[in-house]
Amino acid sequence: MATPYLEMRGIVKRFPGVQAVKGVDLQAYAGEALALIGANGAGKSTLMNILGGVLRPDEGEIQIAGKRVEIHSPLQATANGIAFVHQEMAMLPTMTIMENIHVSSFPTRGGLIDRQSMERSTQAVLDRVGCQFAPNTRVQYLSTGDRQMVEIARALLSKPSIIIFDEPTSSLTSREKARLFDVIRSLKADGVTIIYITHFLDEIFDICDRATVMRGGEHAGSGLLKDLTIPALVHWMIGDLDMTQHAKKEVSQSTEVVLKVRNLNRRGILQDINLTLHKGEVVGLWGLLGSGRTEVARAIVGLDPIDAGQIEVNVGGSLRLVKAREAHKWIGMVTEDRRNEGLLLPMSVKQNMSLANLRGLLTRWKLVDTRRETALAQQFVERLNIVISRLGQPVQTLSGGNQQKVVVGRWLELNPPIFFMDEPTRGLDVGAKADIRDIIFELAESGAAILLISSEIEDIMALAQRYVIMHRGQIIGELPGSATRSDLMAAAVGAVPTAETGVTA
Amino acid sequence: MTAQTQTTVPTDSNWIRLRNFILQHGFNIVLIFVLLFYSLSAPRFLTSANLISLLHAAAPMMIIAAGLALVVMTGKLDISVGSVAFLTSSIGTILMVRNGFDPLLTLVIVLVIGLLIGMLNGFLVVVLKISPLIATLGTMISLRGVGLELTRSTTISLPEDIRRLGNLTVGSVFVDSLIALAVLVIIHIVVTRTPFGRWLIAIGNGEETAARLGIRTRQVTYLSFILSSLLATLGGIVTVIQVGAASPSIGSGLEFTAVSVIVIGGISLFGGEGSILPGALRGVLILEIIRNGLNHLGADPYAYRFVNGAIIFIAMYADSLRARLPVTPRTSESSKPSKST
Amino acid sequence: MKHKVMLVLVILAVFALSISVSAQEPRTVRIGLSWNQYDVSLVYAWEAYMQAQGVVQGEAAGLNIEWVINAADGDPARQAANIEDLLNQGVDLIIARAEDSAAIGSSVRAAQDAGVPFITFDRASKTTAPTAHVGGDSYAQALTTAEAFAQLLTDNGVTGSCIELQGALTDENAVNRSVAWNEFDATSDAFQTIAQVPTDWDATLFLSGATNALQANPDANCMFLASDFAITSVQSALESAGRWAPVGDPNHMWLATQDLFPEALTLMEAGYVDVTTTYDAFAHAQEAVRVAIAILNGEDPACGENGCLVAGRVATPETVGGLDNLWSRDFANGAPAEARTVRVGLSWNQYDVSLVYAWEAYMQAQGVEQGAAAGLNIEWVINAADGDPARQAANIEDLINQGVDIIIARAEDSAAIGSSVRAAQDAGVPFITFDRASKTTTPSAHVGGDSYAQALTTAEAFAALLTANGVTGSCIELQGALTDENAVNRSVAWNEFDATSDAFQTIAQVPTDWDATLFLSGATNALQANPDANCMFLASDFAITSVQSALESAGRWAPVGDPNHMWLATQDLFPEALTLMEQGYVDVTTTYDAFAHAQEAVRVAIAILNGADPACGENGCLVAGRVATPETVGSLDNLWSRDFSGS
Repeated sequence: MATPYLEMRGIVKRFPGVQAVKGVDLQAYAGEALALIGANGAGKSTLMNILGGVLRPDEGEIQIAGKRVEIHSPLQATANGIAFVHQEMAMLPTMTIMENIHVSSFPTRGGLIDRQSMERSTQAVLDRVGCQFAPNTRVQYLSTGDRQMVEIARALLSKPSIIIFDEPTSSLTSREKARLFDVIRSLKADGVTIIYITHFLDEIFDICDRATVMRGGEHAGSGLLKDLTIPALVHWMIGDLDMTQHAKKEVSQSTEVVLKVRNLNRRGILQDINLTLHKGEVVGLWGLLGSGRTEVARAIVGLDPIDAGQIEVNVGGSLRLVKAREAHKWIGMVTEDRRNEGLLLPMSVKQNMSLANLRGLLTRWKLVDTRRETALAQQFVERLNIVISRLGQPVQTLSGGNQQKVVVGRWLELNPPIFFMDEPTRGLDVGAKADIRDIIFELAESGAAILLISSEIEDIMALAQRYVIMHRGQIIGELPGSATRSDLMAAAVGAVPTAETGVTA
Repeated sequence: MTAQTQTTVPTDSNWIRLRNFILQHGFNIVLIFVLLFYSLSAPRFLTSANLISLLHAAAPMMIIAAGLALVVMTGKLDISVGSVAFLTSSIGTILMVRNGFDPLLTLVIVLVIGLLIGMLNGFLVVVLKISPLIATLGTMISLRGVGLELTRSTTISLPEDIRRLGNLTVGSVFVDSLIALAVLVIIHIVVTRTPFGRWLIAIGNGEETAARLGIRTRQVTYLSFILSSLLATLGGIVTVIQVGAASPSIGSGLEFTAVSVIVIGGISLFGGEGSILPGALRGVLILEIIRNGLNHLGADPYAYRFVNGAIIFIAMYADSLRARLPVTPRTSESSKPSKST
Repeated sequence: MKHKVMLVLVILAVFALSISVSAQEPRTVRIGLSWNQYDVSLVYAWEAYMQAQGVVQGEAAGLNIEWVINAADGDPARQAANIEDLLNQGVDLIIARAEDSAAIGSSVRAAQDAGVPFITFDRASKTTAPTAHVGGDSYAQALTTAEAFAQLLTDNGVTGSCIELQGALTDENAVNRSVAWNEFDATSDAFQTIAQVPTDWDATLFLSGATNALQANPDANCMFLASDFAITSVQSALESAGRWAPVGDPNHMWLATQDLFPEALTLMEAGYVDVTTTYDAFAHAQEAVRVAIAILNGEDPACGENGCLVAGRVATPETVGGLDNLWSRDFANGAPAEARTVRVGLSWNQYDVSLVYAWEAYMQAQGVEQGAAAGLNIEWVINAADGDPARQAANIEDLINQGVDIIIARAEDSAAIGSSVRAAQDAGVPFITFDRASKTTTPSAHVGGDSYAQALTTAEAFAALLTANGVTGSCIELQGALTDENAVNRSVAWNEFDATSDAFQTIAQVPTDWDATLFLSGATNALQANPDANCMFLASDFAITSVQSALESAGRWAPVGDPNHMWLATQDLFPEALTLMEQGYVDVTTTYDAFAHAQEAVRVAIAILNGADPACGENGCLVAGRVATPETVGSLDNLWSRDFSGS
């Protein structure tokens, strides 16, 4: 290879308290796609935001085509031929494609928008990305994948020489993905430099030529993909971590099924979800952010609509078919976002805990029996070891761990046979995490079935007796409780595990 | 790669198509029925003279609704338009009648005052970030207070020459109808053909998204409030010239009529959706035709409010339906016929 | 013999001399006294002291002083008119307490232009400088209090930690007092101001401010009140803080005040207030009369730079008994009891139509006229509620608290007024609803227009007119707002008459919501729909110009006599309609008779005040308007549309 078209050297970026990027070098060549990968928080977004002019580096320099450039704003990035296709799309649904593409700077003639030139240039970029819809189609009629194409078309309008794709496939169907890859290939053929950020290791082998892996703000490794394998990349991503297992508390296994989900479908989000939970079991639902973990939980309890699927719940010893909305009766949901979804912050601990159970607390005059409300709340405050000054204390004044315990306590009042725990330890300190783990363990011990969703591998490894692996809205396999950390990491990025070998490419 | 099953397309597309058709064209259907009904039951309804006087009566509202539509398209609201119309036209009348100002000079002064009020509204909303409803509620109440103070609640007749302008015609069409139609056409072009107009719609789609796309949302919003006030001022002038006097009742409750017009015209109060032509024009005409027809029918006086209320309710309901129903994304026509596996 | 002649001559000479001397002896001068309003009892005190001083000092200066007094009910414009009146009456000098320190300037100029000396009293003019200014010296007042207070604290071995309750910071007096207090504080160790609380001269803010300051500063042991008119508020605050105790008690809060209002006088005598400096009405009046006489005699009144300012007298519990001419003692009960003055509270919903101005002026004029006949001096206390029923209720509450003898109110809300009626009745104040009746509680009396009779008389006259012209009417009726009782009554009367008469027929009814634009479009549409219509009935003619436009574009705007004439019957006779009637466009109307309403309201009020039965009908004392036609309208007097057409 000749000299790199883009070269970033010694880039350092500090945020208050953290050094997000610690002197990273990156080279990318014209006509080539570079995969930029790394775990969450590895610093890839920060690095690309520096290149895109969103952030300014504290140290280091950027060279394009051998010349040093200063990029201090997204505008300067554009001027230097850099385009950024963000993961989060900026679409104006009620406007047409051509308006969406040109909205930042309309071509005008005599103060009026020059529709013909707008249509022409739109048609040109749409052709480039292989879309055949008319430029004056309203974006609201487009599917998510098509909108992604429009987003890319918008980036192409400035005829960039470097295009950064940030997770472009996270919301695409396989067909749309194939189309995207066609576009990227044709861009490569035109000599454009592609930087491709993704979590999905499988697809980089399809479309990228080289990979740069980041870990903890540092450059962990680079190489041509034809020389690399998924395990090698995973190794770069997670490093030589201590592979010893956390002491896992074993719960006595039971074969009694309490929840059975069959062929759950939600268009564009979930596909053919089959899931079984047994009494007294902790199942880890494992996958990347956006793989559909939370969506599975929400769909089962009826928070999101489903298109198809059957849900059966064990009621009085036998499985019964229930509607999604009804399932909430048997499933306690401890949510990822406890502040917004789970708790009513200005209300008291007591009121928050009784909220799910108000109907059970009515006197015969259909008023809330405040004495029983207080007694129950007191009971669970003690059982969960919640530290509060009084039951009337507003929830917003509690620490995160205690707030989470209030959410758990709320469901304990109802004593459901099933719990969905969605990121129950997020944002908690070590002590509170341990408390929550203990509570989950106790719940399982007492016979509840628990579906645990967590991004924190320690959590899930400490508790789960088996893992259900999610990838792009599908369940792609299972791992036993004995799976190792690297098994899990590889599985998460889409390498389908088999029971025997653990990882395949 | 893993195999992906193609999700089956639901077969309720006929129903969806019908629903969309009703939502898209519901008010045209209503309009046609209403016209038909009136034409059959009121012999003089469908005469050119009546249609001309209908356009005459609708002229001020066309102008005011065109201005308000600009604000509504950004997803905001300006309910001060009635008070702006009242205050500015009262000032104009006072200047001419009491101070003997030249009519053209007065027109300029009054438009400048309208502009200043628009800047005030814009300032409150854009700079002070007060909710548009609250901000313009405030100006609505206070401007009316100022107007009542200035006129001391009296009715002030216009000079005879000016008053006559209200019945000025070109051919048989009233001049103010032509002015109103011209305003509608101009604003229509502004909305559809200028960057500013498209930015209004973009902001209505989501202010943050628009800002991320590099649109100067604050300036655009500010300008929309100025235009709204300016056109409310012009509408007030036309009203006063038609009526022949600045009276304390001018423009009171007009904001609600104007919002009804907007909604009936299919301009979503959630922003980002709607048109001046035919939207706003249609809204004005529907309300005016219904009132005109009820006059012709000699309807029970108590029926007027009920009918207007019903129309507004239906329009609001349609708007919220439109906002609530997910738009069924068309699977792109572009997708190649060969289904990948 | 010669001696006798000499004696007669001497006697004649002495006689002639004495005649000539007595003929030129007392010079009479007239002093105009313009009060802004009788807003505090001080005003009565000033007035009485001035009159008394006029006698005393006038005699000394060989002057016979006559007073011409008026009051402006708190309205700067009224005060300007009042002063204009005084000038027209040819007074020799004017003393005025300004309602508005800026607006008074124009009156000062007017007086100077007329060559009449002008003394501003109590409140200086901020604009034009008058001949002289007489007022209290609020800086000196606060300073003397601070000095005496410091002395007192030192004598008692106390170091003061004081809470200062300030007045309205827009009031010069309040600012001066605060400045004086704090400047003294800066130079003295006797006390320290630890908290400053502004009160806006609002008694409730005195209460809350004092309470809060006491909460915040439990170690405070003294207070300075910028005025003690609200001493009872401070008393409440101290009581609830357990600090209300007379001097000598360990809980005593040391109190320094200003002005010595009647309540404060009592409390000082009881030992709760320690030091005050009077706002000395007597001294002010004395000084005003001295300055006036000096000016009238062409002498220099020898005022200071800021005018002739009078510092008050320092009072303590020990010395207060020995002070004489204290207005708080002499006028503790407000107005001096002499000629029977009654105060009539007038509560407007708002000045929403020019009618209200007409009503108000007619009522005041009638008050003078009918009041004089009934031996009453009627004073008006007027407020308006800006169209807010809650505000009106509060305004009426104010009137009751100000101790008016009777209330006349035009309700914003016919239902909500009921509670005000009850409040007045509970306070023993008679209540007259005006123009709009109460739908809930029955008041002492109701005075209003009889809208049914109004429309009926119009319909009758209109029918007669059409018949006389050989026309059978096909009429379009433009109704008012159907939520307005008057509008409904008019429509009912019109249609009931229509049902019994063959003279005309109502062929279309158009509601207008009292909206001028709907008058226009409604009339236009009805004319389109009914080209054979030849007459119209307007439920009110305030929007007559709208109908004019509609008729013009239909080619039907023509005066009577013209074949295109549209026969017009209207209600109310607003100014525009009056003009058009005089020109022959409007044929019949019945006035909404502001003059008759006002006359009736004053009559009823006086009857009630005298304990007589106002002799109202079942629905109250209703006044039908007067029928007017182009022929008769010229001879109708007291038409508000003519008298108040320029607002």
